Amino acid sequence: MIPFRRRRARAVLLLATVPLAVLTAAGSVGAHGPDPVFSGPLYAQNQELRFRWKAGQVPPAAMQTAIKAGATDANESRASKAAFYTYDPAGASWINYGLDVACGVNGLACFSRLGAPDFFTMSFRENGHRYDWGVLRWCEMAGRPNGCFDAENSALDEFGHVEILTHHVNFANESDYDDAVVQTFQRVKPEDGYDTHVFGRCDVASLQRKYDLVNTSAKYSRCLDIQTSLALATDATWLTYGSSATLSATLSVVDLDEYERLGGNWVSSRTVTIQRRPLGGTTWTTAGTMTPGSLGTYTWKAVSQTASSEWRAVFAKPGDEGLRGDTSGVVTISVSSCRTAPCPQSVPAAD
Amino acid sequence: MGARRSLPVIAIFIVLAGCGNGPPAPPSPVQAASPVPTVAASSTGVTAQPPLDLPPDALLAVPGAPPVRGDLGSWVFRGQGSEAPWLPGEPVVVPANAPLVEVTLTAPLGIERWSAKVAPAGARSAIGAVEVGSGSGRIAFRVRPGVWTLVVSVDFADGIGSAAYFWRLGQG
Repeated sequence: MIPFRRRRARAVLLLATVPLAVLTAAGSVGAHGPDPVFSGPLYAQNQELRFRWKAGQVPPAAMQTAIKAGATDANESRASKAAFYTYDPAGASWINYGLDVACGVNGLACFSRLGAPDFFTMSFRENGHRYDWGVLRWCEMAGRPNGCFDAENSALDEFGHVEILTHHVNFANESDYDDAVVQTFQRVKPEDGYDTHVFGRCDVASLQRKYDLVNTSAKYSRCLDIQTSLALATDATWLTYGSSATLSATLSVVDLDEYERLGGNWVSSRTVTIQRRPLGGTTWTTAGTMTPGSLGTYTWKAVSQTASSEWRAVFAKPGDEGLRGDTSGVVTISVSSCRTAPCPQSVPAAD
Repeated sequence: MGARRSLPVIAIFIVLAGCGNGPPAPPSPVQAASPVPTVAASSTGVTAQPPLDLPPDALLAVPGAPPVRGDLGSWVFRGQGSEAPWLPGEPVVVPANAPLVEVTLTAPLGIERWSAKVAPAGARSAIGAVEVGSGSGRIAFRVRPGVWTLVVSVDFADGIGSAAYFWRLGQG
């Protein structure tokens, strides 16, 4: 769990100032957003879900391998504290295969998370099953002919459902199909994406919102558009000529309800720059990159100051994650012009 | 497909009752939404097969013809779900003048969002499908003349799930 959240402390103020577009982007509905989610219970963060094969309906070896691979894919690509899956012959959750699976008339595979947060069930129709629409061919069991369904992809899709995800809402032309594995229509070989074995960014986005990131340095899914807040302070607002001050910035996620578990998170290990301008000036100059510390803190030592300046910190929108940039408020550090003693002990009063 | 048939007069009543600005259609005797089933692990750790809680059927109404129940494709509903491929769809004959068609559910569930897409009959996936309508609430749209597979995807209100329904549209 990411320590010290400032849950909703600033929500009222921010709701009054955040554009509607931000709130819309943060929502779970709409094409190309994070996957929609079930309204049911979550599993605990990083909960281990042990599954077994259901007695009498054990998948054949090739399907066992594919399903276990799908579980590993989910574990390795969840990029969050979502539950993870382990095969255990004594597990509370079960997976079955065969004629008697309860997947409905046209179902290839299905799941139930009604047992959450204790267990789940999952089912796979038998290879060769005849539907009105055709014959089911699992790629892993049929020599991977065109038209087959990749069972590992199916399993990953089902494991995503078990977590909390429902089907991703694609653009009308499905150009964003690769953004999610948890799809309404599973593709067949050789269609693009038929054998994807990692969660897509919009799957991950919802897993992150529901289960949180693994730590404060982890990247936010690029399917998100999260607003950040950057604050700047100094340990001295008045300096004697030639002395130094330390500027400290804190970077966090704005604490909005729709950000769920992400709201208020500290954001660590990013690039935050420090800028300065002469007191009364208009042009900002980058002084350097602040040194990252723990829990979203960044510091800069302003050494040997000889003139009063204004300072601000800048977090530019990163290209590799779904965070927005932010610029801190301005901090003024006044510097005495007196170079030799005796000098006044405080900054002169303003006229 | 073969397991599904056009519905009799009762279904027509449901469709008509769901049109216009009148009160919502009454619960259908065909398949009512059921409470969320619960499943518990036994003391031995053996978990039972949960009863399947299917989403409601969807009926497509074309002027001058009885409504036709769509083939249920992939769905997620009340904590359960099933994955299906792109289906050929249940045959429906559509008049050539591209009428407004309407889809209604056989249970009084709110509709948060819906979309309707068509792809050439015989397509095996949504690749190349064209959207012919979308919105929230009442599902109604015009279909193009021709032979198509129509899929209507419905997101039910309150986060209880979604479902895809298929028809094969033919020219009348």
